[in-house]
Amino acid sequence: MKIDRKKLVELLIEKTGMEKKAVESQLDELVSRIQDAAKKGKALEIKGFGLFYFSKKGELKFDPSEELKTEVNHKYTGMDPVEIKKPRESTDKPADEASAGSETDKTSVKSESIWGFDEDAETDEPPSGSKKKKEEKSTETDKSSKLKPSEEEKEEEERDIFAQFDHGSIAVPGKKSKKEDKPDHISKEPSKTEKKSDKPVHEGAEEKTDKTKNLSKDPPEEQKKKTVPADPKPGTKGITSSEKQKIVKKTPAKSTGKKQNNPVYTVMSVIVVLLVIIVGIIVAFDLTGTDSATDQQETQADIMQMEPQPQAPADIESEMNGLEEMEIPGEETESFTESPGQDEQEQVEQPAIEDVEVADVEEFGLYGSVHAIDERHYSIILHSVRSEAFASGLRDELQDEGYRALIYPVDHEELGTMWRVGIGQFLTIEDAQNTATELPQNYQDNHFIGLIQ
Amino acid sequence: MNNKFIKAFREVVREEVVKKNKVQIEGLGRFEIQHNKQHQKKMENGQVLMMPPEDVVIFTPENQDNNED
Repeated sequence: MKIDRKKLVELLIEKTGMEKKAVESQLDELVSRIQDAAKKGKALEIKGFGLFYFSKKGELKFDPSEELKTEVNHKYTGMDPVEIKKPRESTDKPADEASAGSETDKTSVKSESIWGFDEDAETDEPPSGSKKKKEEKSTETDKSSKLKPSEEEKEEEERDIFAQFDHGSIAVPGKKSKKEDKPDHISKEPSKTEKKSDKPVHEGAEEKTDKTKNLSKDPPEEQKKKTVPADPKPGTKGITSSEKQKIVKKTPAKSTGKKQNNPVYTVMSVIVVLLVIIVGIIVAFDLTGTDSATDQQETQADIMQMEPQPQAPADIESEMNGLEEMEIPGEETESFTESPGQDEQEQVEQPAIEDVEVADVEEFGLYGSVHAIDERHYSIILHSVRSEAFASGLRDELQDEGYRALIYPVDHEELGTMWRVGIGQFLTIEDAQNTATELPQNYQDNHFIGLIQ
Repeated sequence: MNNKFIKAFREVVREEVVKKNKVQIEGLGRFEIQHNKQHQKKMENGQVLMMPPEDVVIFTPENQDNNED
C-alpha cells in the first residue's frame, strides 16, 4: 500500500490531534527545510529518524538512524552472523605451532606457498617465506655459475646480472648470510635428536648381548624408545639432523664457488634414507624376537614385565611360568574361563550403549517434540518478538502444525529481551538450511538459522 | 515547525514503513522497506559467514522517482 500526501496528512492529524491546515503547513515546512539544508550542502537530522543530505551527485539521500533501523528490522534484531567456515588462517597455525624440530615441515609448507605466489613474491617479499625464496634464487645462481665454470669473466657477468636482478627485491649479501644462518639454527636441534635416533640401535645391540642384565629394568623403556623413532616426529628430527650434515658439507663448497643443489632433492633423499634406517631398525628388532629361543624368551619376558606384575623380576622361573601362559592361552581353558565370561558381559553391555546413541540421533529433526539438548545446535527461526506470551502463542500454533517448535529469549542491547520462535533442532547448520529449503513458501523468505546454546 | 509534529511525523513514517507501506512525501521522496534474505558472505581470509536476514529502510529521492515514472 502506498501512503500518499493525503493519507500521510490524515495519519498525522490522527497522531497529533492538530488541525489539517496546521499539519499541512508543518509538513511543507519540513520538506522545504530539508531541501534548503540539503541545497546549502548541509545535512538535516531528524532525531530518532535519520539524516537527510545531498550526495556528491546531487541526489537527496537518507540515512536511517539506529532507532529506525532496529525498529524496521525488529524481526531480526540481535541476530548475529553465524560462522559456517572458519578463516583459513587457522589451517596455517599448526605449521607455525609445530615444534622447532620439524624444520622440514616448515620448509615444505613454504615451498608450496611459493609455487602459489612466486610472481608476487619478487616484489612483496613477505619476511616469513623469504628464506626459502632466497634458497631458490641462490640455486639459480648456482646453475648459472656451474654452467660455465671455466670462463670466469662470463661467470662474473652472469653473477652481476643476477645480482642486479636480485637487488630489485633483496640484497644479495643478505641472502647469503641468511642462508648461512640457517644451518646453525638447525645444527642445535638435531644434535639431541641424533643421539635419540642412535640410542635404539645401540640398545638393541646391547640387548642381544646383555640380555639377562637389562631384562628387568631396561626393556620396557627400550621398547618405548624404539616405538618412538617410528613416529613421524623423531623421523623429521632425524631428517633435520642429516639435513644439517648435508648443508654443513655444502657451506664450505659454497665458499669455493660451487653452491648447493636444489634443497628439495636433498630433503627428499634424506627422507628416503631415514625411512630405510627406521624400517631397518624395526625389522631388525622384530627378527630378534623370532630368531632364537633365548631372544623369544627375552622379548616375551619383556611383555610380561610391561604388564603390571608384583613379582620380583629376578625370579626367572615365575617368568617362565608366565611365558607358558602367554604362549598357549587357548589350551588352558580352565584358567581362562573367567575372561570369556567378562567378554560376554561386555558384549551384552555394548548394544545397550548403541541404543542410546541411536536415540541421540533422533533427538534432531524438524518434527516431533522438543528435546533437551545440552550441546550447541541450530534451529530455523521464524519469528522474533518482544512478548513472551506472543512467542509462546506462535510456538503453540507451530506445534499444532506438527513442527518441533521452541522459544528462547535473546537479550538485545536496545530492545531488551527478544523471544525467538524456531522450529526443529539440528546438529549442524547445513542440516538446518537443507531442511529450511523444504519449508512452505511463507516461511521460505522469512527464516534464518539460529544457534541455540 | 514544532516538536510535536516532528515526533508524529517520524512515528507515522516508521509505523507505515514497518507495515510494508510505501510512504510518499511530496518534494522529498519515498520511504519503503526492503527485505534482504539471509545470505552467505565469503570473507577474504576464507571465512564464510551466514548473514542473518534483515529489513532495511530504503529512501528513493523524488527527482529520481520522476525519471523512473
